[in-house]
Amino acid sequence: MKMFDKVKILVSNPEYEKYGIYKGMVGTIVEAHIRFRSFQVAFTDPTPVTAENWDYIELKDDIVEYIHVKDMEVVEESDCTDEFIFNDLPNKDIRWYCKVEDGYIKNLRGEKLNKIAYDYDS
Amino acid sequence: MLVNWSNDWIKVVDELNNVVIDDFDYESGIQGPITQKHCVKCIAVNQCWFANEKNKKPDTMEYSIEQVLNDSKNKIGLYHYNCHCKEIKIPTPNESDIELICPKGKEEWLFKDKSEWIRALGHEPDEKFLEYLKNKIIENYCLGQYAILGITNYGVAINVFVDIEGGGVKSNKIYRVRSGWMVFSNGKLKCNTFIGGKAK
Repeated sequence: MKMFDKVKILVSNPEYEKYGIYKGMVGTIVEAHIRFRSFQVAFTDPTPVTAENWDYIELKDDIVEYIHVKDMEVVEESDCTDEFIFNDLPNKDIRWYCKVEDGYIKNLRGEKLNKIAYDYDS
Repeated sequence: MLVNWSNDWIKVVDELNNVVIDDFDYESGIQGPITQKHCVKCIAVNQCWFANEKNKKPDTMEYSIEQVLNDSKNKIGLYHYNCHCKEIKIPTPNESDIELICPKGKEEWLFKDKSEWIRALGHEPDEKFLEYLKNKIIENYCLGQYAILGITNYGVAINVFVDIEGGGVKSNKIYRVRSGWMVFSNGKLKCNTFIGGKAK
């Protein structure tokens, strides 16, 4: 799991639902770094468009929120490179965690944040 | 279109706390040891600039008369009892005072996900449009054309409302869109999404 991957929400969570994010929705990771064990994800807003006087009414709004890595799974991997990810990390600090691999939250040096595989809060 | 612009601005200052939302690095979360004496809201808003209007600045605590008169144990504070934060009046920001933090990935996402939108507005999804959009975002933020969406441990999320002039055959039209940002300290805004959708 990394930047620009498409991810699916695995849980129903009132904290997400208040922003219009529901179980099964698919979004795209749009920020390189993981903050508080969460990625920032952009979703297409499912709310029907009612605005008038717009000549591109068929296009949808988006919802951008932070989602805990344990609450989503990858449905389509991106080809985003480590170099691109590094250049988008805050202050280009290589210590920022930015990937989820083999049950671990990792940075580009391969260092792991969680102690137990697949227990992302450990 | 009538523009409801703000020329009255405040900065939130906690003189007992040097930590601001953009300080947090890869390991120290806002709920970490560094913040034990300060709540999430007070960290998130510290040193941030806001137009001095409802929904454009953090809501202050409203105390009942009974609380004010009878609670002698706790000190009345701006956001909660014993809060150290103060609102300091500041001049209306100039556009040159604002620094946009725009990760490259957000620019790529704009061109990838919103290219249809941009073309529908009569523009091309390119650097020229991006610069135009950034300038409009700064201009409208300084006019107070924004609303707070929420305050979390990621910071203060706002929607900036931007009037985009149509291009080409759409040049007689104005499209009002919302652009998502986090307010960081001292005039910095970090991009969440350049174009989040239509302004409701």
